[in-house]
Amino acid sequence: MNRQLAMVLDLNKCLGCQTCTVACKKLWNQDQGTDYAYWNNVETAPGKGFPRLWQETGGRNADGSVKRGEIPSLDADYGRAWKFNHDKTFFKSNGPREWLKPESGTQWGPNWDEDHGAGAYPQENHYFYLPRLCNHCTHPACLDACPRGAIEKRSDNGIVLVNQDQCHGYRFCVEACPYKKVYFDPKRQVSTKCIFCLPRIEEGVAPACARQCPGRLRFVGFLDDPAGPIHKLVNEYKVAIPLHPEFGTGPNVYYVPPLSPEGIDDEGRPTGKPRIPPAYLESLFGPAVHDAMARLAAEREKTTRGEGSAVMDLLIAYDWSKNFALDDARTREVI
Amino acid sequence: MKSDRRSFLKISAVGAVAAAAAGLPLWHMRRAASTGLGDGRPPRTVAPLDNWQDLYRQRWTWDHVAKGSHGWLNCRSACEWDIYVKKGVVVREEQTAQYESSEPGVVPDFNPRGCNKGACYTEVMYGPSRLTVPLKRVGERGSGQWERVSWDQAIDEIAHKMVDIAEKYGTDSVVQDLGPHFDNGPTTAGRIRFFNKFGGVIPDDWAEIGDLNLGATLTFGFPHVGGSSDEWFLSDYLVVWMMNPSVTQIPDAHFLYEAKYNGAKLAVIDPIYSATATHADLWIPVAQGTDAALALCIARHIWESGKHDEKYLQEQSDLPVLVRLDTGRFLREDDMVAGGRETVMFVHDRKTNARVPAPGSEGLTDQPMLHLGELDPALEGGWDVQLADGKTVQVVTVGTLLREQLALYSVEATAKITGLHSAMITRLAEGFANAERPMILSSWGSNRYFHSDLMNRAKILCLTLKGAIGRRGAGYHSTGWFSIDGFDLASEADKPGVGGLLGLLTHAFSPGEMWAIATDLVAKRKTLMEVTREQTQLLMDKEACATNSASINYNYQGIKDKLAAYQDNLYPQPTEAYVNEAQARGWMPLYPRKQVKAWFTGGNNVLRRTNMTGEFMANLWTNLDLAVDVNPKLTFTGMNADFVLPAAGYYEKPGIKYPVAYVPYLHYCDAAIRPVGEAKNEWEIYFLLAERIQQIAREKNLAPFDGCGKREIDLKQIAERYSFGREFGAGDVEKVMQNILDLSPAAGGASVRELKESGITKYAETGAIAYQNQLYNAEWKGEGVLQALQHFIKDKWRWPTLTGRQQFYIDHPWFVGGGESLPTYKTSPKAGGDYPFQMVSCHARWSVHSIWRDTPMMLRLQRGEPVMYLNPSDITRLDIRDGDYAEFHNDHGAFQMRVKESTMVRPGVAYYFHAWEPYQFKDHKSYKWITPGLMKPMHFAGGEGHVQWRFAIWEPGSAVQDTRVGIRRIADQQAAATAGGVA
Repeated sequence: MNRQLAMVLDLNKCLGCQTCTVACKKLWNQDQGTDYAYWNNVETAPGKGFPRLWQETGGRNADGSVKRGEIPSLDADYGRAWKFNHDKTFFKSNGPREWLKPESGTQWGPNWDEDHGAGAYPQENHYFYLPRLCNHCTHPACLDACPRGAIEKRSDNGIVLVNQDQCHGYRFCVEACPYKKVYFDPKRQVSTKCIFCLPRIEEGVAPACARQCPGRLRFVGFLDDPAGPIHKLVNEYKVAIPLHPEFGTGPNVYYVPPLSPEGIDDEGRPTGKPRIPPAYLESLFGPAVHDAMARLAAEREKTTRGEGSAVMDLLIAYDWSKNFALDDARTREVI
Repeated sequence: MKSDRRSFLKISAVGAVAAAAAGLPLWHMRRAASTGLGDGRPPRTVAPLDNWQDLYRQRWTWDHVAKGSHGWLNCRSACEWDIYVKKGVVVREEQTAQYESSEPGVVPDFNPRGCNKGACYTEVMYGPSRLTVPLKRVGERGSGQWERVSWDQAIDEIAHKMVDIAEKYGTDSVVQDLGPHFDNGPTTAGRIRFFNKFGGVIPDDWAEIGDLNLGATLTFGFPHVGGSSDEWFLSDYLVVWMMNPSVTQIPDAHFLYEAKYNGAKLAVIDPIYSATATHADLWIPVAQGTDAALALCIARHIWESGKHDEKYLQEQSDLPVLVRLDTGRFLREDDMVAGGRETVMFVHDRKTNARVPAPGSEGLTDQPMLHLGELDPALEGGWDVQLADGKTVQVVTVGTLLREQLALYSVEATAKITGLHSAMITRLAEGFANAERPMILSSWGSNRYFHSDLMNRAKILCLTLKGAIGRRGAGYHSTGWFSIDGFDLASEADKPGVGGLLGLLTHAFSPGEMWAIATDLVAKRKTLMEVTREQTQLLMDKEACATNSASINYNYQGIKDKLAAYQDNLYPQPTEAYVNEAQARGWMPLYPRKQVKAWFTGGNNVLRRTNMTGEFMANLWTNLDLAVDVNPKLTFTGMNADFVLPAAGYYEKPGIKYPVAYVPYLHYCDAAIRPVGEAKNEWEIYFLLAERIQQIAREKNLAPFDGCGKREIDLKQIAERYSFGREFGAGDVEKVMQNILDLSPAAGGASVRELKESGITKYAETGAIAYQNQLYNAEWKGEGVLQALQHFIKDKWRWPTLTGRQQFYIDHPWFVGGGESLPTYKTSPKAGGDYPFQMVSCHARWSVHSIWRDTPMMLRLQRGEPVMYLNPSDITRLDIRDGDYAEFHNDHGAFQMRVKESTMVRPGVAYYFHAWEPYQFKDHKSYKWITPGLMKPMHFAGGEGHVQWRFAIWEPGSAVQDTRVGIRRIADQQAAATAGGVA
């Protein structure tokens, strides 16, 4: 049976703390070839992101044709995992004592434009945190691009995997993924990507990025499970929408779009309008973002008036364990 | 409290500590036997490499799992983790996430807690600055030349040196810098215990690092206010004011954003568009340092619009208390009648049109309650009063004075001060005034302006006017604490168990004093909490060589002239005159009495932390005969020490994460593995040191010392005393832990054995020793959202202030003379000189103080080096590019730092996230070298009511947020990037 696991991330609860990034990194990517890679990253939006300018290199051209894409540069677009000069800082050596810094220069990194944002202070400056991982797409561009047939989309849960035996390191997948979520491992000469914590999923445990998120903003479950949180948020309440739907790959990671404080006019008066320009949100999430935002606002109005809202209750996550609806109930405790 | 036989038992032992312990007569039999390295968790293995997917499956395997936390860490959270061990190495950590909701369906649960730092402590534990062997300096201090020595040699040399120093200068020339890193387990207890037994000095640095809420102390009598963080969820109007929980309170921040979904409005008041402000409904970009004006304007609006709670103010606040206009002092009973009590104040009763003693007054020792009964005290008004000496003076209520004060803060005037539009101010003020449950979150970092106390007094005033303090889902949250009473006892008592407690008390108090304590309680003149608070203070006064870091710095750092230049124009007297008066009158203890000759750091990084570091190193540090850092990692302080001793890391020793009230669970830290390398836990390190010192003292037949002049210190007995009379050995750290648990009612009878399995246990109560415990809710027994302050609001006991009320008028002569008797707005003094940028800091997302500052995994998620955040418009104006090195300078010097542009930063502000190590800067000199750290002389005040020195409650500190700097472009970036300067 074809089933699809999916994730919803509520951006209104994201702290930008990067616990997800660290959780993922510690578990999967500390080897020499993948030390630069972040299957999960959190970037500040608006911003150039990680890898740098990923949004401008993928997707489709104005005529609807698929863009050829580019392979990001290790130093200029990802940022090499910097090595540091602790010994020369701590201990006497022949040269002058150094101060602690990356031994080779820095050009970019996984969180280079943290908290940069856009807009003039204090009228319209704005930013929010955008956590990103592989979308485990319904129509994965990486899978289509692989001449080896090394990429599979599993039928039982929809997770997209790069077969590490079959991959020959051509990097067509890196080029093709418009989200730039496939990484090339130069040490092993293969491509790697988020496996949705498959070994954990096999045991009914949510992915590390989701289970370790102290903001409690991630929901994990099967898209077709009417009792689970994903189906409700995506299909029923329609408050969670994919990132760059126009890329056409059918992402299975969804976002509750971000509300923002009121803007301020040139005199300093609150404007009653959100700081984040709706047009910018539309550029990320497509036109569906406006309805999703309106629904969120309406549901919040209900609770402000003291009325109940099933949508708000679900997003509040009174019982956090219910954020995860996997095949069995072993989601509370890592076994 | 009933005065039955059982209570009397409590009384006679001063505190529920003894009662709880006495209720467990076999406590000593309950010590856990297991010393295993984490047990009971099944290993997880997978078949090796049947297919490529097993490569991944292999990574998620382990041999065993221990429960742990980051116990030694000064992090205002507590989170329990599964510590995964494979082949003797901790490979990763993941939150246990086993918390329940305090009230299911009413408030969300606490899961999973944790943060980015906790998720990679393993990177620090095995990181490039980890210490694994004892090191002894062989070159000059700070030269980076070391030799590896054995523990025996290190302990022997340090012990000899300490004895020499004690003989030459007295034991009180040895300083153990207390914090901020400590846990409530045996290793920190051992550290404090050793220096108590040695007669060394333990200064508190809570205010010195700018984290102590002195505004709250002035108002409530204590600085730490607030219950569990799920109470945030219950508010309908949340104001995050001088706090950034998205960054600094990561495990709890979700309650704020969930409260929004629950219908609350969220206002964030911050000059910076912070990671918290991005989630606000209303962001109020107040000019830095002007918060007091904004608060007073809100207060004015509340009162003028009639949204204040008159009955609450009559009973709970000092607004009805009468003040003499001729002196600015409260009208006191000894003004009215010869021989009257100095600490009885008055209110004017409208019903009888008469002056009556103000319920709550400190001097009304027989009437400790706030109940008004038939009284109807006037909040406003003025009267003529004839004094005992025949003189007639005018008196008015605090309310009247306050009303006049608030009149200055019209919306228009406040708009000018704060840089906010009046429409913005009005929106905030109306939202606040109309709310049912307004709540203000104020972090420790809200205390880093010179005038932070005024700001926090004004913020609290808004809540008190609304009657919000102590109301469920409303009020002030500045972090409450549970009390691990057994920790305090393990730090001090000579014997384990109840015997130690009794010994401590009988040693400190005469039978007459003990009787007075008992009778106070039986007659219900004082609560158990008040008694324990007073007795703990008495114990401190009589026994402890305790002081505060600011006092040491002021006297020994060589900064008097520098401070005078920046702050002597602010008050009628020069700073030195205030400090001298405080010391001459015995208001503010100063130890060491003569010189600082030895410095131990065990829970901090003093050379990273201290303002005007250059002066500290040149004057105080160079005068030391001995500098020792006991630390899991090499810090800048360790780099400049004589010995660095490798302490066990967080996962290598048992401990209890310190008990912040945000999450009402005890967090146990198990030893997941043996200490890395040759590292040892502190209980053992100080045990060995005590043994060696005792041997030397006996060989020399040393006469006892006088400690710091308070009690006899016999080093010939130090090991006997340290080891509780040989009850515990060097390796008995888990037994000491069990002793701590047994003597801590809050732990609810938990055992080490159980905690090794569960990691957490819900606190059974808030604990007894009021010294730590400022929750003031004795009725909370582990059920429901923890609300603080019910003791005063519900039970109507007097507050621990001079008036026994939430006090907004401080009539201490210094405050009256200094124009700060009422909350007021004062401009931020220009520390460092008149320069265009104000350098403002926030605690970091990426590190707790300096612990993760050098960790490559964390640095790669930043820019790799320290950065100063500037608004893009300032960067353009200064002709600097993002990422460039720039020079920051003021009258005090200069340092170099990279610049990062960010639209979150207010133009004119240079914003940084704190605790970079000096070795991360060129010449190993950070912003701290040019941060004056002003010391507010008012905070040296004492002698009146609650304005008196109390350890970690009322003490002077230093302020960093007033620092001004200029910024210069560095044209030659190549040269800027070249190392040099440090020999």
